[in-house]
Amino acid sequence: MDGLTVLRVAVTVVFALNGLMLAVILIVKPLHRARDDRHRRRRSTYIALLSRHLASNSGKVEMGKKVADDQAFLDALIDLRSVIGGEEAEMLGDLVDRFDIARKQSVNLRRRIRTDRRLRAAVALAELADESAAPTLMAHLADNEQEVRVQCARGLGRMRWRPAIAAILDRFEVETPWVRSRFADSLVDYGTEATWPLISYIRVHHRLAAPGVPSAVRTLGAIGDSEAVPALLEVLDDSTDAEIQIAVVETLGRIGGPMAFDPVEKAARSEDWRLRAKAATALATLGDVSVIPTLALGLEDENWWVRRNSASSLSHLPTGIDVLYAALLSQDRFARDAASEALAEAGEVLAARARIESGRGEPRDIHLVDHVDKKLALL
Amino acid sequence: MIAVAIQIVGYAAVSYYALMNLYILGLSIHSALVLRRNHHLQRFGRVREMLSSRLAPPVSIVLPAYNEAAGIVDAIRSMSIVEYPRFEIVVANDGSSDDTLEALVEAFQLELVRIPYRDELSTKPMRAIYRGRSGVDITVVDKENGGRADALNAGINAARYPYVLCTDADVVLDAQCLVRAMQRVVEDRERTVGVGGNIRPLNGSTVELGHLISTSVPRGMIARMQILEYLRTFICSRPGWSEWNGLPNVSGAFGIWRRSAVLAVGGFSPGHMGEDMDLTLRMHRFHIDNDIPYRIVYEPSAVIWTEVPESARVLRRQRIRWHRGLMQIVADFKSMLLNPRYGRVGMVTWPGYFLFEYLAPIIEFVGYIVVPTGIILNLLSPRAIIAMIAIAFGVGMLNSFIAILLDEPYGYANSGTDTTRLVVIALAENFGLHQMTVLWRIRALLGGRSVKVWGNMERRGVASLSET
Repeated sequence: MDGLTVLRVAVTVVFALNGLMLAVILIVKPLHRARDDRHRRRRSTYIALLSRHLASNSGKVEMGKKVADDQAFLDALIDLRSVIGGEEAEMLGDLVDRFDIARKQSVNLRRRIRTDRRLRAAVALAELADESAAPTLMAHLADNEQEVRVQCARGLGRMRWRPAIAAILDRFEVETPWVRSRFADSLVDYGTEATWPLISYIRVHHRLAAPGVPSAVRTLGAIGDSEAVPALLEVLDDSTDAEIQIAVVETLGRIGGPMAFDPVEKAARSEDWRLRAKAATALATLGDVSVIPTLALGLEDENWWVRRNSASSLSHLPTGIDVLYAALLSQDRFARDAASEALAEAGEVLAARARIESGRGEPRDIHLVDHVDKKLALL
Repeated sequence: MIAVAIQIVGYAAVSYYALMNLYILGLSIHSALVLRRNHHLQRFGRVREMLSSRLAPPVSIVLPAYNEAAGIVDAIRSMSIVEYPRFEIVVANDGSSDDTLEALVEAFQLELVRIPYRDELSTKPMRAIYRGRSGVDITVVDKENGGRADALNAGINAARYPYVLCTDADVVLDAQCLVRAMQRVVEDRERTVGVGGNIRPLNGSTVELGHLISTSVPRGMIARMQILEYLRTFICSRPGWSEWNGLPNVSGAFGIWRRSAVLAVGGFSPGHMGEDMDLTLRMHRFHIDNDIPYRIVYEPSAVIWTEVPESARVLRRQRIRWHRGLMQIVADFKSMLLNPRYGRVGMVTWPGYFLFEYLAPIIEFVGYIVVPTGIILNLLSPRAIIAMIAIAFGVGMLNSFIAILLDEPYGYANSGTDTTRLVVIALAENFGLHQMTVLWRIRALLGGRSVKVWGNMERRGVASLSET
């Protein structure tokens, strides 16, 4: 075969591929569009049917069992389920049972089929949160596909399936940060039921500085159970890992309570600036004016973030604004800057200017405006 | 001797053209595999989880504005309804001589705030900072004119949040673009320093008050050709490059960067004509040189719409500017070329870019002269040359068809009319339009006065696009 013949064959192949691709475009696109339109129409019809069923309160629905195999029906069920509650949700739950939907989706999740179908099954099970699917969801917490794992944890959290708490926590050490965070979100759904398993996990793992511990600590903060405070204080005392300490201080700030004051104040005097900065923010969320002297000290910190967070926290406390005005007279120019920046953020600069212009300006207003104007002149 | 040279150069030029299209075809197939998996993941649940997550890091949307009075207000209104838990908008008014600042002051009830400004990236002098009181979290930095890169640096200085979305004032953001792009950050916050988005031409679509009402492929051949170009780039190339962590360019119209990383590399380079690519490559170089684990990724479902030139005159100016930018980049980053130290960026994507973007106009132009000369002098076989050109055209068309097909799940140009228009341009662009862009890029290589950096793109403003 000479060179020219090879080229001719190549040309034929390339143009045949082009023809094939063109045919695929011209056929597939309209087919997909028609399929999507059909799906939308069917879903609307099912939503209307299900709404009528809920409104009639008869417990009967004029639909054959075959609809359970229709993805549009499942989508409609999920859409409706997300906007209703109480008795109506129970009626939809009865439909899920009657049409055996949870079992069918569990089978789909277990089958070796295309990833998108398995994902769809996992999402459906998570949304429906039917307890009959809990064993399947538990089994797939270690699925190869990370989104399936996320959806399984979400479903178990939504149904508050207690045996899953330990299983989810067991996965903390092996998961990527994204999946671990989603797992943590699912534990928040359990509320205080998850408090003690989380505390146990933290107690066992914090000495190893395990990567899942900060997530577990923050999950406690999201749950907001004050029973966790003593254990958190213990961890703060015991742990040498900065990430864990930072998470504990942040969480103590979120949970609050009198027990949290001393350790967070102590963290505000830590050698690690990250801990001081986090403590400065946490002190504001504790919301007691007794923290003001500590925050005032933070204005003169060597680290910019600590000064910034201290100033910002002061601007949120009842008498903190006065402390910020007082800091404008500080010998420390960094403290003056942090204070003026926080006052500007709080709208005090504009207010001070307005007071001066209306003749009601106080000396501290003049100080503030002077300081800001001098800074601007330096730019 | 001359005859042999003509034969070698002639066949080499045509072979190069075919090779280039085969390279793009390989990239398209790789991207198709990446996109397939991505579609599955995007369809389920993640966006809603991200929106309600405590882990969504706040973002500053930074946009430079130079004489954008016509569309800036609508553009910001469209940005202000982006679905994301926490973000601010920072506009850097780059010494506009029109009413850009006045329009912003009026629309968003801006007030002068006298807050200290951190000059972490050096820029042209700042005149004033304004904050909005209208409910939109907007900050406007008014500064002296210094070009797009300088304005972006000023905006980054004023940004309060750890991630900055660098974009333009003439774009329309899809409501979910930020959440979709930022989920890539949340997935791997330690390593992710940059995320690029999917830029789509706005021409032919209907826009009302800064919001996209409907999309369509425009009638004009020049705009239509660019739609296909954008599809080939953003659907067929970037997903593949991103998978290899070898993305050579995060487009200036939509690039999310970790603010601290931008500060570490010194921000955008003022006066650079390809400042987006320059920043991307400097990010690669900085992290590899300092052995810092990192990744720069592309998210195709983060869609942003921008106006593209509709006249040959404006397109010519844009392409000359782009190629001049590429020339600057080739000079600045030649040490990375085929350098194994820089991994896939140095060995695959950057050489590919150099070979098939930078050198393409030179080799094609040489081919335009040598091949007809060789045929006339009977030194090249007309049949062989025609067959080779046919293969190159055929593979090029195949790439375009793959792009059209891969774009289908995004649902923007799927009507019968739009599909036909794209198919027609995939066939037609090889006969004149493509060659025109080659000549413009040759013009860029020759240099001269025709290059201006800032403000020479004729825009009608996002709002007025609904009139088309």
